[in-house]
Amino acid sequence: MTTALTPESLLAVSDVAVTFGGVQALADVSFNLERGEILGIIGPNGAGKTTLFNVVSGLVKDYQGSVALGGIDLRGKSPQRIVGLGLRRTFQNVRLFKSLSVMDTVLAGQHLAIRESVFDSAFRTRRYHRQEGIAVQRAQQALAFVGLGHVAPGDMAASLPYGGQRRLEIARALVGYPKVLMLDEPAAGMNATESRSLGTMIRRIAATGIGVLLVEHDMRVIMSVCDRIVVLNFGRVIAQGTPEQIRSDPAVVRAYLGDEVGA
Amino acid sequence: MRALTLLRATRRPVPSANTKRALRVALVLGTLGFASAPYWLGGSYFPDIWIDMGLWAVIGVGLNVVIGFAGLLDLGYMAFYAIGGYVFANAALYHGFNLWETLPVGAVIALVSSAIIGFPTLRVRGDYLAIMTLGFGGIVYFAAQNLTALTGGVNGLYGWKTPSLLGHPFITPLDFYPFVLALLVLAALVTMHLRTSRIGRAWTCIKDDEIAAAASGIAIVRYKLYAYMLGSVWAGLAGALFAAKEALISPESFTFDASFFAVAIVVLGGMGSISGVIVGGIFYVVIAEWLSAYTGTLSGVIFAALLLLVVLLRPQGLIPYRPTFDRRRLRRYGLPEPPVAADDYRLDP
Amino acid sequence: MSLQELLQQIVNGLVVGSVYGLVALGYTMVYGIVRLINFAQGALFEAGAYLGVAIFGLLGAFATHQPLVGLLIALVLSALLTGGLAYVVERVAYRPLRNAPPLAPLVSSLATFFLIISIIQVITGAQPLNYPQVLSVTPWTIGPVTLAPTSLLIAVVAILLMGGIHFYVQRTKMGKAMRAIAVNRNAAALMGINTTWVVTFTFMLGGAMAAVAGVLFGVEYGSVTYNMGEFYGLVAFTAAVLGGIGNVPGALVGGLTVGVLSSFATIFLPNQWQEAIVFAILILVLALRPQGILGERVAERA
Ligand SMILES: Nc1ncnc2c1ncn2[C@@H]1O[C@H](COP(=O)(O)OP(=O)(O)O)[C@@H](O)[C@H]1O
Ligand SMILES: [Mg+2]
Repeated sequence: MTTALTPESLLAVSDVAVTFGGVQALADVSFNLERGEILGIIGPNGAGKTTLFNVVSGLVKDYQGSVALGGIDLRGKSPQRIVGLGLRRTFQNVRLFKSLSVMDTVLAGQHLAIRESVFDSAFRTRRYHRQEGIAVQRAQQALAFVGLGHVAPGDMAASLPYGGQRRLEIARALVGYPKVLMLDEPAAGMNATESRSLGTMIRRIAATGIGVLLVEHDMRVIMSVCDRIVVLNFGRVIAQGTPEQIRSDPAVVRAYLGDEVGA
Repeated sequence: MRALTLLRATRRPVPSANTKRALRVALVLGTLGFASAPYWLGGSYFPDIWIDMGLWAVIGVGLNVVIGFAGLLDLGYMAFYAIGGYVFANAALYHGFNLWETLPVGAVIALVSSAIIGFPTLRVRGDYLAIMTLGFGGIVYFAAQNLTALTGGVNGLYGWKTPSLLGHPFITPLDFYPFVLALLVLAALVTMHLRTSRIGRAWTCIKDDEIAAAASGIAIVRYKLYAYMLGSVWAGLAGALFAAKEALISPESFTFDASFFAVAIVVLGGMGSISGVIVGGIFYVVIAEWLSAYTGTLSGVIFAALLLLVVLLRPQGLIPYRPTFDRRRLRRYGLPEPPVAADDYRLDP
Repeated sequence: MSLQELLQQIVNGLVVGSVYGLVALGYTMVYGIVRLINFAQGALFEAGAYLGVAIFGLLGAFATHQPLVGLLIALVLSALLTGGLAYVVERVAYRPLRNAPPLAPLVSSLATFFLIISIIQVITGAQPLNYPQVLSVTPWTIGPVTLAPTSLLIAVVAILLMGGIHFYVQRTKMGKAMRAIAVNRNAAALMGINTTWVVTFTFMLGGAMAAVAGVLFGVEYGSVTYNMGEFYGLVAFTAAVLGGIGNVPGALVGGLTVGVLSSFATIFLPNQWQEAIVFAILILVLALRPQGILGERVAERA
């Protein structure tokens, strides 16, 4: 299945294929993501969703096809270069820094934005204080945005409850002002109320013009926030369309919704 | 039951502001008293020991950047101490340089050589790095023994003109002591500043999770190299001071054993903790000095056993570093009224 | 330098290289299954050599009358005792840190290394100890080269043992368990493998091989020193990396290569620089080809 590719798309994934040993983790995966759009990626466990994120974010380097961010080919670029081009992500199994406080975590997310030299840091120049001030204030806003405004900034990141850790990971990504944000199962481990407010938050993020790739198992979140949905099964795109189209797509119902939502 | 535990938690004796202040004053006075001890103890034995403590504390503070901040195990750290020492000795002996003119040169050469060594080294996986630095330490040791033209071979270098400052010659250990102390204070302050800044956070991220660090835009290899360089430079400076004070430099100060003790100081004191590694350095000199009266190798047994015990029972070290974002920083840098709700958020930078 | 000299150095290098390979085996097997550079391995090599001195001392005149039997007893006893020491090392310094951050087991194995070496130094002092002359040292002349019977025996024992280990890892149930853990420890545990015991056993096997190497080394060179584990531990690690760490035949290949190269160094380099060649090999390999010579054969991991 191929899509007409518009080269000026924010993120263009075309004909991506990945094999691990004998396992075909991804095959012929193509889609576009536009500014301000929320694109859901769904599919059963092992369908290749995380692998897709790893390809786009530069962790999996051995793939066929191409990935372009803002028209720039990402092949061969290191993960941190890709971050520099405007892509941020979260991880399915939360990856926070265990020896950083909540505030420092969000400051670390601004690594590329903070403009201070080693000399500024070592001798606490005026620039150090100015940069630190900007960064801390941005961090406070990001924390409030993800619903952690009430948390003591000095608490350790790892001391937050699970849902809080997921939100903190989003804050760390968001504070880098990305063009594309990729969320890998952000609602996992959240209750219904929490997932609902998470959905609202994702809509708000997209409203600022960020393109969001959302991998999620919670169908209520997917159906309520996504503009479009790509369905993966055994590494292949088996359907693509609006939530309404996906809901009624027989292939999807057979392969996926039939087992998960029906149960 | 739950209420009871809560009650107990709140009833825990919280030191009053006065007690806290008294403790802090006592700590400051104690530190000042300890640091000035060579002056009121007099003689040349005590100043000598205190200089040793100061130099090993600087070694601890420097290696702490590599191990404690960035999480890189460096088993060849004393190579840079050797480089600093030999740079000074050569400059003093053959070019008539004074110590003060040599220190910046030593620092720059330590930086450059650590960059040259680190560049290929830091690409390899974390545990290979330990071995590679061990190999590098070995090469520098062999070079010190055998590059006779530069190092004087096993006999070492000596016999340069006594360093002086503003016409005042440096002869007794007490003459050197203030400069060792100044170097320690500088090293402690600079590394403390680095710890809570962009570069220090990047190091912590790398130490904790390289993948998540890369996903935050941190260039892993580059920042490891910075840690290696900004750690090694202190060894270079300390090595130059050491050579000047001893009026002699020879390979025996840079064996693998010395690098092992440097690692032990950092781990025992507390990885990442600056006060911890300073205490670690002092502790090392006390033990080594005390034991050498009986037998030289017993300190190896004791330090290895202590190191093992600490790793097993108290991995954070004797004086652990407790990372936090303290209120003072928040008040200084934060918004006067931090937003609490999502609606207050402005996404534009 | 003549061709004859070159051939002679190749022979010498192969003999000592086979001993390096035996020590490298311990590094490679432990690294293969738990991804730990077990620094203690160098100290176990030294401990094995010193235990050999003690055992020969206890055997006294018997070892002079029955040198081969004496050597056999020393090899077996030293291997058993050092295997036991390796057991203690694993229990005390590695197992409790299985789930700690990666720096912790590395530092604890370093501490263990230093502890063992320092204890040996305290007990024996800094003087080298003499090893008994087990076999005739009158060398045979084979074509252009000479070879002492002891040296031949050493190489044969070392290479047979390595072959045995390779067979063991490939063919036995324990070997299969080792390879399974190397691929995925959790999956292996789920398959009902007693991973804890397999790991302990691997440490012990590595320690026993190091002890055999230590005794052979002492016999070959005639004396042992309190810090031999430092330098030769690093030599053997270099061999393991050069061969491809985690790879059993790689240990032999790496050991022989390092042996021959450092043997050549005795011709080409001035005396004091001969030891430095090992560091140079190590750094070059890590920088240029960290997977080693046989590194590609991941499936062979033990
Ligand atoms: N690093 C890897 N090595 C080998 N196989 C992998 C790796 N990552 C993922 N896979 C395999 O690729 C397939 C897709 O996995 P994944 O992308 O994690 O699926 P999802 O996120 O959709 O649950 C699975 O069969 C998984 O076992
Ligand atoms: Mg997944």
